[in-house]
Amino acid sequence: MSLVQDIATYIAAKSSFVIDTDLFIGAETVDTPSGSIVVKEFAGSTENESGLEERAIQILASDRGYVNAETLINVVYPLLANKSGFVSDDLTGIFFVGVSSMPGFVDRDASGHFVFSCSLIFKKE
Amino acid sequence: MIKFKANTKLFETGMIVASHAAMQGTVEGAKVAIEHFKNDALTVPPKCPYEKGWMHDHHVTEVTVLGSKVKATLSVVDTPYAASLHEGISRWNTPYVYKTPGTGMKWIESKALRFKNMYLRDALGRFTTRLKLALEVMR
Repeated sequence: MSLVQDIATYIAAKSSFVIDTDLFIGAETVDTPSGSIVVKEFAGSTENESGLEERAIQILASDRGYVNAETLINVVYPLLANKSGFVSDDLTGIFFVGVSSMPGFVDRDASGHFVFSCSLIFKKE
Repeated sequence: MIKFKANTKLFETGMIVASHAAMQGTVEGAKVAIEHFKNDALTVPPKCPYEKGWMHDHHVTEVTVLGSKVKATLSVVDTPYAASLHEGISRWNTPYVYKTPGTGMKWIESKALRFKNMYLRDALGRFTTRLKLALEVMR
């Protein structure tokens, strides 16, 4: 499976989010519902001196309520940020998850949803 | 009794010159690195969504010195929609479509992740050059 798919599966297993219902992989859909999470990879992935892949992953949370959106991203962020030694089958091979940018409010999208974003660096063998 | 008197004036002068050179080198290095970073953000894919225009021209670099701390900043000023575009969120259409080939979201953050060692080398290169020059003068 792809890394974003593995991450989404991990999030789904550790929370109440359901893939393709309120947890989306790769990109938001045209009619992404309120109260949803999107996991996607962005440019910037590289290989470090230790030969580990450093994959850049963005997590987006959107909701019609500001506080709800903030709550959503704060459910997902602690599951991954600054964690190491994942024993889940889904994230085997991930050595450490670093933080590139902490959860923060970005803007409201065209549907009026408040959007929060955070960026994580998955160090992977 | 043997008295030994050392004249440390030259050493003290050398340390002063070296510390000034170190600060000068750090500031110059930070300027070189942040300009390189800005250039990459604008020209290396995924690059700034608009190749010319307001947002492109409002990427501003700044190097500030506060005591012994040197801080280099790249910011997009006076462009309220910059943060949304950078994070790939559109206020006009969802999902946002980056129409110009080679442009895309995270045009700044992606360079910080991919080329961070290069920018560090830029800064260190200028720092060591300054220090070497200062020490050459002291010889």
